[in-house]
Amino acid sequence: MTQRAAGAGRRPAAIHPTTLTAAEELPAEIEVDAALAFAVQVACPHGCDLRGLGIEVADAGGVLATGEICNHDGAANVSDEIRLRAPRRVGEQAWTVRFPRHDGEAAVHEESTIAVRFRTVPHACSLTAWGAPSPAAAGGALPVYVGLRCGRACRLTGARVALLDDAGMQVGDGVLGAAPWPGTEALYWTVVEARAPAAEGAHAWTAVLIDAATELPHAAPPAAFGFRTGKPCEHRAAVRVVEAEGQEPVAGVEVHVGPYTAATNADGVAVVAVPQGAFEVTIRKDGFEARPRPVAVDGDLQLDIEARVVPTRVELRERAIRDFPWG
Amino acid sequence: MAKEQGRAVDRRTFLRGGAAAGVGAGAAVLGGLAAREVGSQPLEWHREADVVVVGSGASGMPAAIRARDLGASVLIVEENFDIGGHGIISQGSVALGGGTSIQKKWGIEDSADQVYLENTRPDHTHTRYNDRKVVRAFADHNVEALEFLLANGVQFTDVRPHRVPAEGVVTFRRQTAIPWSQDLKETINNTAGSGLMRPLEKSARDKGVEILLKHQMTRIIREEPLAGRVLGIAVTNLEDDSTLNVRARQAVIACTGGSSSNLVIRTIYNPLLTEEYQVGCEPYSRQSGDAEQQGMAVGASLGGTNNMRTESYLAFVKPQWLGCRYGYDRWKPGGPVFDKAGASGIPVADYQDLIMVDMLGSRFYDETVGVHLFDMEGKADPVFDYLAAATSSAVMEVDGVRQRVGGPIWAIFDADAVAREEWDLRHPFVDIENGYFFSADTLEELARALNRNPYQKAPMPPAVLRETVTRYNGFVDQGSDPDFGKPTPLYKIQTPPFHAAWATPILHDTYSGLRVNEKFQVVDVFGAVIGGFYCAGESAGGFALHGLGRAVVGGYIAGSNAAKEPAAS
Repeated sequence: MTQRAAGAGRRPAAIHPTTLTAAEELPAEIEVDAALAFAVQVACPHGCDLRGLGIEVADAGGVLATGEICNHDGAANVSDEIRLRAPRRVGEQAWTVRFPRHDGEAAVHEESTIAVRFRTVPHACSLTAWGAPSPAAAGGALPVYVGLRCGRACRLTGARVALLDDAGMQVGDGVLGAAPWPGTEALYWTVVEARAPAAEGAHAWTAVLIDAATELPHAAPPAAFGFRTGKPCEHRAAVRVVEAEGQEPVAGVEVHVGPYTAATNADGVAVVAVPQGAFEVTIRKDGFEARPRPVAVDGDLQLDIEARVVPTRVELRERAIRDFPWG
Repeated sequence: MAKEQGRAVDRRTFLRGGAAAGVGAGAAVLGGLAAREVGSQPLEWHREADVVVVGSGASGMPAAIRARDLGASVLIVEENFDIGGHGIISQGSVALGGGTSIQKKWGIEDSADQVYLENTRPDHTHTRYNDRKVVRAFADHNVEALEFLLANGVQFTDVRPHRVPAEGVVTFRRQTAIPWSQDLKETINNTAGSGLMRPLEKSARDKGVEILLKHQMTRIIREEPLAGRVLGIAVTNLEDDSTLNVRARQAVIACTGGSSSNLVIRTIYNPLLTEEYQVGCEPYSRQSGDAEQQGMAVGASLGGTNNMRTESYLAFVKPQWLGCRYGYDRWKPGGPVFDKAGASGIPVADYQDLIMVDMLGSRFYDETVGVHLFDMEGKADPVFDYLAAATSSAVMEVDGVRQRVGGPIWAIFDADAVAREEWDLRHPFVDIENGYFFSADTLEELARALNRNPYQKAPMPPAVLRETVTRYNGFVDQGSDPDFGKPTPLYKIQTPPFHAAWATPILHDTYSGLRVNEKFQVVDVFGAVIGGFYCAGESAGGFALHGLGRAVVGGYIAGSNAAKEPAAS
């Protein structure tokens, strides 16, 4: 806009400086492609009402968005919310917000600008790893589920993830599938087929994101997970759990042979894969109990356990209320 | 709250000045000072009765009926939309013995002396600090009070009375009321407490007791602000905010249920009990602390405060129902306050299925501790250490210095735990809408989601929650918990989605309150009785017996004595 020439007999328009300020500071870091909305204030020392005048937001390439001053409280002029998206690439960003010079009938309002600087960062994701068998057979197969979730729920199908061992060496990788893990909104996942270390003991591995395979950059901190390795489970302990009085099989009992577990089937039998060694056999099922039984595993074995029926935890709580009502 | 805190400051100022002025001089000096400084103004009385009872719970209702039986006109002022207070939400188990007709029927030997001795045992934490005079009065009126309940329509189940050794008692004295009906509107939560409170309400109304609902006591009116007898109370109509002055020709009996819901009063006893700790029986009835607050404002003293330690039985507990705001007991869908309760919560069958973390995402104690406060032999569980840890675990920088801040406690678990516990994680079981239950795809997302809870005063750092879970999962692998000694941690928290359920300890009983004598007359800060002012139930100090027995007997004694007060001139 150019300043209008003063006509004969007309007084030249007064020159009013302006000051532009951000109504609210933008964060120093903004995720790429994030939707932004911010307002600015334009002040004139003469208290001029500048409603209807425009605001521009530009980068080196030109104007990105425009807004309009829509409020005047007698001192400051406030723009509407200027809406635009953060750049889609990671890096330092410099925008200029400009109130362009305006030649009015009574006054010329001079241009004012502010620089807005921020850094665009990848979409923050979180990784999670689960399901590694523990104890795993030393040197044996080690399937590990790995999931990746973008905080903005981006579709991450095709992203590549990897597992790093205790020494940080990559020991397997995988590509995330098409559908989120059941029960989740946007946890894309895969199973990485790795191999357990040959050494027996505790291991601390991490799952890492190699490549999000998306147009927008994504990043995730490594997710630590652990597991133990032991001797290969060369033997089968067939543990049959029956109710002590009626000798009826009990299904759905967690049978623990040391750290190795399996659940009983409809016949009350759990087949637990175990290595050679000495273990304690315990059972867990609400409403049943049995004394721990020591076993020495030196081959396949069969074991019967008689479980006593005891009140379930819910029954105990209800009984406590019924027999010992507190209130 | 600002208003309440403002009043608290005024009171503290008064108490400091009053105590200094009164050294060696007693109540007469206080009365003289008050009269000169403040003077008196004629009041307009809008309502009046011989005896005005504040609160219609298990203490207020017996107090009202008893005073009416003795010839007084009685008005009950109740802040709630319906009667009953905590009593109607309770399990209806009334511990009264001493040789009642019910005990005799079942061949149970008991006496007033036995009641007294068991409730003053020095070897039990629940009884050792009780005021001997108050307990003696309680013991001597047990039989009368039970017969009084029976005479006023309360019916008990025809089974042998029980006992709760955890309360320190040996003798079988607990009988349970028969529920009034199965109607949630009438019973509020379908518990046997309705079988105590509805018959008493009916009897009270039949005998001519008037009940003013939705009115809250906002001031106690003495002859002089800090001297003379109590003349009545000011009440606020909670529907239109208008104020009524209610004259009590003979006495005011304050039965406002304790102070657990009152931040100012409860933090007198324990400054750690900040706003994040909810209260059992809310949102139906509050333990408003009105008796304590307004009583102290006119010079009343607290009494028996040693009973109000956190290590006091059911004063402060691990919630039984998680994922909802009020998890002391289970709120039943369809009841008149269920919308306010938000959800009924999920019970935990096995604390191996979860970990508990503080507001900032760290574990703080063995999760399996504290399911029961005491075993049935009365031996204390380390739950009190659990609760102490829960209120003090989170440490963060506030105003440039590190501070212990309390805050919410969250139960963290995974999809495998949900399957093992067979939880249904939808409304009405958990409260997602109001921010007491969260689910997320990863632990980091879960930590971020918690910010929506109104008591999450600081964000839970996602990396801390991740580290806490990773470390715990390592304990599962190694079969031991070197941090907190959880017995053989069994299950990793690893399979998505992940969940966080509100598991913050919850307040319940109040075991201290206004200092009362054996007649349940309120005593002032100089040890003198305040004429025309009685207090009973959980707002009365000196006696830490849990539940309805203490409330009923206190109300009965207060009503008996209030009706004998001379009328104010």
